[in-house]
Formats: sequence, structure tokens, C-alpha cells
Amino acid sequence: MLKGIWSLFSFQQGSLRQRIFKGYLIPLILFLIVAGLVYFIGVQPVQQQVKNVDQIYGEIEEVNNLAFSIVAMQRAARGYILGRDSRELEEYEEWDTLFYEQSENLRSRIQETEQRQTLDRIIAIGDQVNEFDRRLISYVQLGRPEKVTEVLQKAEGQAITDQLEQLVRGFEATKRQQLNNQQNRQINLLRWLTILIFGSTAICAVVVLSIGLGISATIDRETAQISNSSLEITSALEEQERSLGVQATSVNQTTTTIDELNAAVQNSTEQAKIATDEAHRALGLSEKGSDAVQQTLDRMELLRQTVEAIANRSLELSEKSLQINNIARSVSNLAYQTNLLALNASVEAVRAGQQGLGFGVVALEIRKLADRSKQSAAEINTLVLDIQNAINTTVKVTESGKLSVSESVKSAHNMSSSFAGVSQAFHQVYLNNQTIARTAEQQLLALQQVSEAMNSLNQVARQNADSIALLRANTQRLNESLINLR
Amino acid sequence: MKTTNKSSKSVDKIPQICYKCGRFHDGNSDSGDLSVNLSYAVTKGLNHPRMLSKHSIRRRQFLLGLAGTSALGILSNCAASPDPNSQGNLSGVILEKTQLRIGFLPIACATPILICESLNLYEKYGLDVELVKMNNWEQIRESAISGELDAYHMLSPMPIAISLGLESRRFPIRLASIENINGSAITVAIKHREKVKTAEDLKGFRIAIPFTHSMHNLLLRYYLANSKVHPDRDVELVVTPPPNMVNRLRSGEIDAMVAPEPFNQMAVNQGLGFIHILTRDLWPGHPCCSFTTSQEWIERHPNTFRAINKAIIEGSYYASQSQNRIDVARRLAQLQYLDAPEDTLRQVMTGQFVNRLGESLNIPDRIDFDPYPWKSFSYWITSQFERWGYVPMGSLNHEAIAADIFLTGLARQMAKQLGQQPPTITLRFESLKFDTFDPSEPENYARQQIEKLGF
Repeated sequence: MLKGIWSLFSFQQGSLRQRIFKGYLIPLILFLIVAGLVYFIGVQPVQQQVKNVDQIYGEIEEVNNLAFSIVAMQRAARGYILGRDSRELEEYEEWDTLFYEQSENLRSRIQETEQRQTLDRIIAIGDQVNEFDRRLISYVQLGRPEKVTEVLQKAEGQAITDQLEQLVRGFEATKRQQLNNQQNRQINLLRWLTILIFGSTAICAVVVLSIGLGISATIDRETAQISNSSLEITSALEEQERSLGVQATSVNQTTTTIDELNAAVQNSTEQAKIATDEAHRALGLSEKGSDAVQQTLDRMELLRQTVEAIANRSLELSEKSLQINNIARSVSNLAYQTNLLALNASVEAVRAGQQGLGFGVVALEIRKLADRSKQSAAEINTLVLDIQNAINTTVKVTESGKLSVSESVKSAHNMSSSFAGVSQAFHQVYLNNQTIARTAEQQLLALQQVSEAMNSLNQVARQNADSIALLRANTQRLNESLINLR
Repeated sequence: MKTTNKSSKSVDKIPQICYKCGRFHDGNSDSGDLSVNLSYAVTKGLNHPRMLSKHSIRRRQFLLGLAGTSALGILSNCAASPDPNSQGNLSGVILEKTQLRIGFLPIACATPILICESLNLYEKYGLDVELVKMNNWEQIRESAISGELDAYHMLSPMPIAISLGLESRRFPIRLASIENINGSAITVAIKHREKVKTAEDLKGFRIAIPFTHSMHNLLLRYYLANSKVHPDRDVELVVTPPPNMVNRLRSGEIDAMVAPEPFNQMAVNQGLGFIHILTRDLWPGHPCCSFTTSQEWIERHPNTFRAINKAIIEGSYYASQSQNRIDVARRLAQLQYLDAPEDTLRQVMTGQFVNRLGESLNIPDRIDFDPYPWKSFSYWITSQFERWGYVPMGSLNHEAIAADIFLTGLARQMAKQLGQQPPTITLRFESLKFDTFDPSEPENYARQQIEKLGF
């Protein structure tokens, strides 16, 4: 508990707010204490004094009033006794009531023994006067006015009045003395009060100043620290802003790049599509080529067969030519023998002379025919030779044709297989292209997503930039505030 | 007719206790009565140059805003705006003592003291009163002198006798108010019914009196003497505690008794005696008992004394109202009070009774209640003290004794505060059966009686 209270006042602990609170609390408590002191030592007693003074004045006045009531009562009684005016009696009763009320009031207010005794004596005198006057009034009402004179001649009343005056004077003197004492006390108290107030104000001022200085030092320290921190924050913010700018640029660039990439991918997708189409066409073409090669191949076969047939015919031809050649030679040999026989026939015809002349002329013609047959045989021979040559050449050509056909077939086969390879390759290309196109599409999608992400990144970056700008403005204001705080 | 502190106007009306301001008010007027009176006084005070001081007091009190210790302020407050919780006593006045013990004898004379308890009037004035029932007057006297209790019910001559030191140590007792007026009678044993017609017929009787210093004794003496019967020689007076009187009458120990009520009516109702004469017929409105306390006690407890005094005067006023008498009888019949038959008490209180002489009587003031202590009462009593040799003839200053012992002024102030109109004067001619008492010449009365009667 005590610890708790002490911790409330231990100045080193707690936040600045708590410290300020404590700092204010201490002078506040001091002021409260002082106020309490001022009230209890100063104001209340002074009030009490004032009250006392008022009371004393009041008491003096009331005692005077009381005495006056007694005298008035007496006067009313005398008035009645002399004038027999019943209104005087009414007045008498009023003064009597007033006297009683005054005496009761005073009795309850005055407690000091000495004064109380004086008061009691004054009241007793009043009672006596009352008693006496009522007796006199009674005598008058009983029709015994002479009794009044008789009683009054004994001067019972006069002594009472004198005594009363003396008592009132005494009371008043005592009260005046009391009043002076009260006033002196009051002056002293007021002096004390002044000292107390100024003193306490000074103490409070010192305390408040010291506490204020302490707090202000703390605030300065803290402000400086805050200022530094703020500056650091500012620079950090600036840096961050910068990097954010860079980031934004990068993002922009990236976005652009991605856009380009997007375009490229779109392009490549299209191209891949085109390529696919082309590949497809090429595939078709290559298939056509392959068919053509097949046809060529088929034709080649036909050609080869034709060439072989040619070769075979050529050989037949060659053999036939040889046979021709042999026939021609046989003809030539026959022509030659015919010619020798026709010469022998012409030599015998000549010998036969004119009966061998018409046979010498037929044997010349036979010889001539024989010569021409020899010549045609020769020519056929040459022709057969030529044909032989041609056939040889043809065979040779056929052979080469055959060779070239087979080579062609071979190459056609090669071509065909090449075409098949091409076709396969194209097919592969087509497939690949299709894959490429699909991939490109996916890529495009991904790129769009990336682009969107980039856009949002861009937006966020912009917002970030805005926030940082705001933050920087705030920090700026904070700095200004801190400058004000110093 | 009795001379009371009530105006004839208020008698006709039905007074009621106003529980708001603790006063009795007339039935057809409200609490404005007093305020009218007061405001009249204040208005008059404003206009009357000699009343200026009163006004200045009020103004001063108002200006200072002092705690209302002023009786004036409180009085006017109570009158102007009755506070339902207001105490009957002067609020702001500190009672020196609140737990009081009051000694009383169980007789109808004690009615105001008893009715105050029954009506909670003591509480109203901030008092816690214990009533102590006593057996006889000597016991009360000794108790008072020893200071055992706070206040006492006494016979009216007792405070004078005790203050003068007659038959006892001299001890100043003060009479605060008269408990009752009238309310006693000379009752003669039934066996003397035929014989006793006048006072002279009482000759040779053994007559019980409650106490030497009692109105009963003094009135009996007055009655006998005026009939030429010497009370010391021709009859035998025996002091008998009132509660024993009926029994003594029954046993024949006494021939007659001068008894307080309800013993006369009780003797009549029991067939033991008949009422020869009411003391009311000897001295209409004579004092009987009183409410007293010692001077010393008053000095020590001035505020308490005023409170109790006021309560008793208020109770007295309640009992004085004829319409309350049946209620008073009912209340007093209770064990802790008179412990007497209610019908007997009703006969006493209403004054409608049979006296065993064949007469049905209606005497509303057979017993009555008027607290005002007339000084002439005291004068008469002290004159009779001289007359019968209790003190030497001419030795008493009747005026001074009355001034000291009868606190008429205070009783008047209490009555005034209760809104009553007590008399201004303190002396009156007392009209007795055989003469008139002139209070202006009290010293001559006894001498004249002796001269007239020869003893």
C-alpha cells in the first residue's frame, strides 16, 4: 500500500504522462494541503472570528435589547398604571414575550460562566420587574391603586432599574473586551493567513518550477529523440519512396516487357499456328511428293521393264541382225558364186559366141544382179552392222537406261524414303508446333495473369507511394510540431 | 365561572392538537392563528418606534444567517410553515437532560403529568419520561429533598412549605404550574348520612387529610372554622395517604375524609360514603396539586425545565377541554396511571355523578385544569400557614414567597408559546364560600379571619 503510494510519487518511474500527472499531482496536493491549512488555520478561524465578532456585537445588541425590553415593559406598566389604557397592557404583553424570547435566545447563545451569570442576573431582574409590574397592574385591576403608590413608595422598583443598568454596562464592557481580543486575534490570524498564503504560494511555485523544469528537460530530451527518429523515418521514407519509384519503374518495365512478351508470344503463337498450317501443308505436299515418287517409281518400273523389254528385243534384234548378217553373207556369197557362174556363163556365152551372146547378155545381167545383190548384201551388211551398232548402242543405252532406271528407282526409293522422313519430320514439326501453340496459349494466359498481377503491383506501388507521401507529410508536420515543442 | 387562560371564544370551539406545530388549535381555525398574532406583532414592531429593536434583531438574524438559535425565529418559523417533523421543544435548544423521572401520586390531580405520557407529549418535546408512582406525600417530599427524581407532582402548598422548611429541611422547590383546580371533596362515611348536613355536624369526627400542607387540610380548616368548628380541637385530623383513605373509611377508622379524586367517587360508588361537599364549593377554582421541581434542578436544567413545563401545560390544556374528558378518564384508568375503574373516573372527569344523597349532579368543573399559577393562590396558602400557626403570624412576606416559588411568568410564557392567552395579571380576588380573599392585603386576611371567628 505504502509502496504503491510511493511509486505514485517516485518521479523516475512511469511514462511522461504519468510523470506529468504526478508532477501536477504534487503541487495539486500541496495546494490542497495549503488550501486546507488556509481554510482550517486561516479562513475558518477568521470566519469564526468574524462570526464571533458578529455574535459579540449581536450579543451586546441583544443584551441592550433585552434591557430595553425590561425598561419598555416597565414603561408600559407605568403607562397603564397612570393611564389605565388597556392598549398599554397589550404592549406590555408584547414586550414581555419579546423579553422572554430575547432572554431564551441569549441564554442559548451565551455560555461563558461569567457572562452567563451576568445574563442570568439581567434576566432575573427582568423577571423581577415583570413580577413586580404585574403585581402593580393586578392591584390597579383589583381596584387598589393606593397599594401601587404604597409599594412604589418603598422604592422597590428603582433599585432594580439601577442594578439593571449596571449589569448591562458590565456585560457590555466584558463583551467589548472580548471583542477587542477577538479583533486582535483576527488581525493576527489574518497576518498568519497572509504569510501562509504567500509562503505556500512560494513553496508551490518552487515545487512547480522544479517539477516543470524536470518535465521540460525530459520533454526536450524526448523531443530531440523523437526529432532524430522522425528525421530517420523521413530519410527512410524518402529512400523507400525512391525504391518504390524504382520498383514502380521496374514494374512498369516488367509490365511493358511482359506486354511485349505477350505480343511476341501471341506472334509466335500465330507463327506457330502458321507453321503448323504450313507444316500441315508441307506434310500434305510431301505426301503428294511421296505419291508422285511412288508413281515415278511405278513408272520407273514400267520404264525398267520397257528398257528390259527393249534390251531383250535389242538382243533379239541383234541376233536377228546377225542372222540377217549371215543371210546377207550368204546372199553375198551366192551373189559372188552367181557372179562367178554369170562370169563363167559370160566366158562360155562369149566362147558360145553368138549363141552365147544372149546368154552372155543374161549372164551379164545375172552377174550385174549378182553384183547388186552382193552390193545390197554389203549394204545390208553395213546396215546390219549399223543396226548391230545401233542395237549395241541401244543395248548399251538400255543397259545404261536400265542402270539409270534402277538408279532412278533407287533414288526414287531414296526420295520416297526421304519423303517419308520429310513427312514424318513435318508431322513432328506439326505436332511440335501444336504443342508450341498450346504452350504459347498457356504462356499467354500466364502472362496475362502476370500482367494483371503487375498491374495490381503497380497500383499497390502507386498507393504505397501515396501513403509514403502522406507519411512523409505527416512526418514533416511532426517535425514542425517538434520544433514547436522545443 | 372559572377564570382560565382560555378566551371565551376558544371554549366554544373544538380544540385539537395540531401535530404539525405541536399546539392546540381551535377547531374552526387553523395554525394561522398564531402566525396572525405574530405577524401582527411584527407589523406593529415595524411601525412602532419603540419596537424597532425587535425588528433590528430579526433583520440582524436574517442578515447574519446565524444558526437559528433564536426562539423568536423558531417561533415565527413554526407559525409560518408548520413542519410535520417539528419537535415541540425549541429546536436548536439543547436539552440538558432528556431522560427524566417524575414522581406522582395516583390521583386525578396528576392528570396533566399522566396524560402527557399517554399522549406522547413528552416525546414531542424531546423528553423520555419515566413516571414513578409514589405512595404518599411524605415520600414525595423526602424524594424531592433528596433529589431522587427530576420533578414531582405535589400538593400546591407543599413547595411553599418545603421551601420555608416547614416540618422538613428547608429546600427550595418551585411550582411550575398548577396541575388541577377543584377536584377534591369532603366525603363522610355512609353511616353518618342522616346526621351530617352542615360543617357543624362534623364535630367530633376523625377526618382524614392527605397531608398537613395540603389544600385539603387548609380548605377543611377554612370550612370548619367558618362553621365555628375548631379544626384542632373539635375534630381529629389524621394524615392519611389518599390511596388508603377509602379503606380507612370502610374500616371505620375515619368518619370523613378530605380526599382527592377518584377516592370520593370511589367511596360513593362502593357505598362507603357520600360526598358532603366538593372543595369546588368551598373555593371555586382553588388550586389543588401542582407540578414542581427544585430550584437547583431548574438552574441545572433550564431548557429541560422549559420543555417539560411546556409539555405539562399542553397536557393540562388537553385535559381542560370538556370534550376530551371521557378520553382522559379512559386513559387514566390504566394500570400504570390511576388503576381505577373507568366509570368512576368518567364521573369525576365529566362531573356527572351521584353523591349518594339522592342527587344526580352535573358539575363540569368538579375537577378542572388550569396551569396558571395565580400568585393570589400562594398568598392565600401562606396566609393560612400563618392562620393555623404553621408559621408565626406576620412572619411571612407573601408577595416575596409567591414571587420566588410560583413561576407564574414562565408558565405564562409557555402558555403564550402554545398559542394560549394567559392572564396579564397575577393576582385576583379569590371568592371563597365564606369570604373573598383580597390579594392586595394578604397579611390582613388571616388576622381578619381570626378576629371574625374568634380563633
